[in-house]
Amino acid sequence: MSKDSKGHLPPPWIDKFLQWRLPEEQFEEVQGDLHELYGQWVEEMGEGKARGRYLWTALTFLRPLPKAKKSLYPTYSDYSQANFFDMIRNYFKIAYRNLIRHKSFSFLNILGLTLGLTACLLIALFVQDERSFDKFVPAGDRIYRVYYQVDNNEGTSVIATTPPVFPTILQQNFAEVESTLRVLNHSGKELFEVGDREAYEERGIFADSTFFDFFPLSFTFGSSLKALDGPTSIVLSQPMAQKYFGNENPVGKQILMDKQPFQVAGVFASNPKFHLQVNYILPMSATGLSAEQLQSWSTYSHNNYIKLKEGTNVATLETQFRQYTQPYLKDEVSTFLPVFQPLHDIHLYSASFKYDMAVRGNITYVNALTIIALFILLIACFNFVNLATAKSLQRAKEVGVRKTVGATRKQLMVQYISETVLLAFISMILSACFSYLFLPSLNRFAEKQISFDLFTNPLMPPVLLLLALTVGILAGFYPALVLSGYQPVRVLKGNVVGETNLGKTPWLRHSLVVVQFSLSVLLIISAIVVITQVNYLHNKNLGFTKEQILFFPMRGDNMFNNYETFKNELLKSSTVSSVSIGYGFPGDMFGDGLMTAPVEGVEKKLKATQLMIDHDYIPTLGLQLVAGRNFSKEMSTDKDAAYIINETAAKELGYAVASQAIGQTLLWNTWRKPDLVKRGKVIGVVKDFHFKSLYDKMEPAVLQIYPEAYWKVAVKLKTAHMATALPHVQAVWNKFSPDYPIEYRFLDESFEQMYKAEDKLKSLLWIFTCITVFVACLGLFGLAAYAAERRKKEIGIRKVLGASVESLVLLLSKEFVKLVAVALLLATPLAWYAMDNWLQDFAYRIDLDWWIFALAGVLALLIALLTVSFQSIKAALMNPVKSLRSE
Amino acid sequence: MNRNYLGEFEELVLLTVAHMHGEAYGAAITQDIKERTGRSVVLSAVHVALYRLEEKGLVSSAVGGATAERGGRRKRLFTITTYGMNILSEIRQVREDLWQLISKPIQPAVL
Repeated sequence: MSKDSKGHLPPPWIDKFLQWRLPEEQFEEVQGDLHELYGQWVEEMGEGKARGRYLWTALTFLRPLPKAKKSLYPTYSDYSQANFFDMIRNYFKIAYRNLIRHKSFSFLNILGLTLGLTACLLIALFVQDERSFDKFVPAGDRIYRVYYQVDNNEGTSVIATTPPVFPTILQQNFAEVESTLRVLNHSGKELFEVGDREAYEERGIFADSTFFDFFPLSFTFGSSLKALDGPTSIVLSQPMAQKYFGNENPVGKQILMDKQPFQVAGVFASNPKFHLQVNYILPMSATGLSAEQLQSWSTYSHNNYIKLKEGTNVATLETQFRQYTQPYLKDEVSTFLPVFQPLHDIHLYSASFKYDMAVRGNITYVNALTIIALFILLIACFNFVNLATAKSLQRAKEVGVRKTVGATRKQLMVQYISETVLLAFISMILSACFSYLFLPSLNRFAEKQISFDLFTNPLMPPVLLLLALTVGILAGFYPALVLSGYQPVRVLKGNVVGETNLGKTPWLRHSLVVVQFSLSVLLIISAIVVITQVNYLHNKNLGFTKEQILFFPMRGDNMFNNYETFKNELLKSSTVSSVSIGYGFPGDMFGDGLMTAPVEGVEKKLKATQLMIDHDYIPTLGLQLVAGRNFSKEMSTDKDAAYIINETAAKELGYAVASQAIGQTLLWNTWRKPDLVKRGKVIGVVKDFHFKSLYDKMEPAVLQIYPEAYWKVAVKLKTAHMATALPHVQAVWNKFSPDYPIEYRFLDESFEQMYKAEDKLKSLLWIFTCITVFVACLGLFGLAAYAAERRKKEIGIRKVLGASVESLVLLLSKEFVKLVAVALLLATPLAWYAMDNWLQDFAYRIDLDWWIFALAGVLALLIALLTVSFQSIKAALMNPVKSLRSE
Repeated sequence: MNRNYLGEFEELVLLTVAHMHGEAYGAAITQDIKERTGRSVVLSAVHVALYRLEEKGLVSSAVGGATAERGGRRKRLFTITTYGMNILSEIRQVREDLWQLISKPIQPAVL
């Protein structure tokens, strides 16, 4: 009956599976039985079927088998279960003793990890907040904003606003569009009055009645239904309503905006995660724009949102819409391309948009922060790996003893990893506390309202625990591997493991240090570049004087109508040196216009910023004329037929030398009556001055006298003593517009505001660079301490033989300096690449000079040397008797 | 063990072990059950039953010699213990008592 199964061998991989599945003592018999049956099956039903049967039978062994009573071989796993809990308790005891015994090392480890984790937590909270904008909007993935990509002689730019006719077109001609929304920014500040409470408010919008269908903000008073239906209704934000009406219900009450009455229709609670942070919302009908103007193709002023039907292919719709609109979107100098931007992208991906009123973040900075957080955590983990591996020698005996009494390698690894995990947990608890403490400062800094709900958010504790666990395992794995690999015979014989390693370079430890320092150097270089660039932005000569200039908009008809008298009244005080009234002051708002220059019979078009100025603009701002003259009151033609252009405009018109432009004719369609063409000659060329931010390239500008656009007043003061000048300005103001309070600022303030994002980046980078460098130094400090300790005897002998302290310090520091040098070499190209990319955003930027890299290198070296030398000097100064006598 | 309850399959395996007289091991039992009852039994089920019986003290096992068809692997040979024998006869006794109580032979039901 028994058949020979030779030649009918079952697939070996199934046996492998069985071997993995079954305990050793059961495997042999089961496999034997199986092979025997297999032989029979092959006889009965052929090899193919037998194989299938074999596999099936093997798979049924997945079920748990009861333990065989007597095993073939006694294994020590039978005994190791015996005192499991005693063993775990012993682990904790040893872990605790180790922490206490090596206080400084434990401190370095915990400090490093805590710093790393705290930085990580804070950054994670920030990034999470940045990424959660507009996520509250239902069906937000179907909402898109239509923006413009514009190409013209100034290059490509992106504009957040598009013509108001777009939504109408989309709604009428594209079935995929469910509904549309137009939002118009109410730029500037408006005077609001309720009873005797009055103040200027900004950040207001006009919106279609679909606004609250798109963005369902929660209402504290009133209802979002029909809130924007009446032409004189207004919806206020909670803080603004509070300001004017206190805690009472303002619905139905009247509020004056710029002396016009409006009825409060509702109050909404501001949502900090909403990209439109507004104080008040007016119905679109309150703009006073005619139906004709709302169907305009040529003015791009509205933020247009569309909601698509489910399952719509956006790309196709976008292409169709572009084809549809193409014939209408032409202009002498620019081409316009409408683009659909997902709602969820608005906050982070619109950093470069013009005329965008959304609260914007910057994805580049968010990504950079994420990377920095990971860097810091990585460095902290590396510290741990380094210190623990270096220290492993001292625990070699422990490993020897544990192995001799029967510990398996797996058990040892679990023990050492859990020690690290324990440490990581301690650090996590500490850093949770620190994050909690520092969060208010972060909120103030980032102007956010991030909360750290450790106990209210059910996701938070598991995430933190998981993070701690991951960090613990990451940091502990390698040291555990090294430690558990020691051979008990060698270790216990007193043959220190290190001796076999003495000649070898500890590659891993060294490369970790190199990585740490590369990252540090990378951050140091970035910090230097950013700081230099930001300082450059603040200190660059802008081509005009912005100091001591008081700046405010005119208010009230009386002031607008009698601006000449107003100006003369202002000039009467000895504290005022000059006054200019116009529209288009540096750092403020500007209008565009198209100039036509009939050069040699050919009409040349030039898109230029229009600065509507008076005779005193140039002296007030201290601009320099490179050719020609300023507007003069003696020349009667200056008022209606003269232009001054800047150097860039002259160049773009084709005049290499500025003086060639003098006397050339320019044509301009006036703003008020586009049919009316103003023909004039260029009477002067002004030196380029930076009226916009340094992000932008110098744009061509045309300066002309155009009283219809006069709006803003700049008062140049003689002294910096506000005490005498301000009452005078206030008094003159009250004479003309007693109904309106004056609201002024200083021109240089608006320039400080311009680079706020960069200022913040500067401080952030500065902080994180310090943290990174500090954590990296902790690791280096530990390693140096370890090296000094290990070579104590060597140093003793060297000293006895007459080595000088300097040579010993050199000996001990040399190695680390080499590592830092390698790190420097690695980090420099990376840093150059990253920073070069960042600088590309600025039209005016610093050069990446060699001194930046040299400075970073010297700094890194100095810091490393300082850290190391503390230990090496201590070691070198030690009395050799102390280290040698115990032998 | 006080609970002398045996599952139907366990009883079948125990009986097979008993009649094989010391030659019982996983593959042989599987084969035997198949030949006698026509029931296709999975090897692992037999193993589970055997180990459980051993746990209950109804069978004892020893590792036996290797044979060529097993590729030189040893087998675990099961023998029934006295306690196992007692349990078997107890079960049999109970069944026979019950049979006695059925006075009439069973007749097929008439439709």
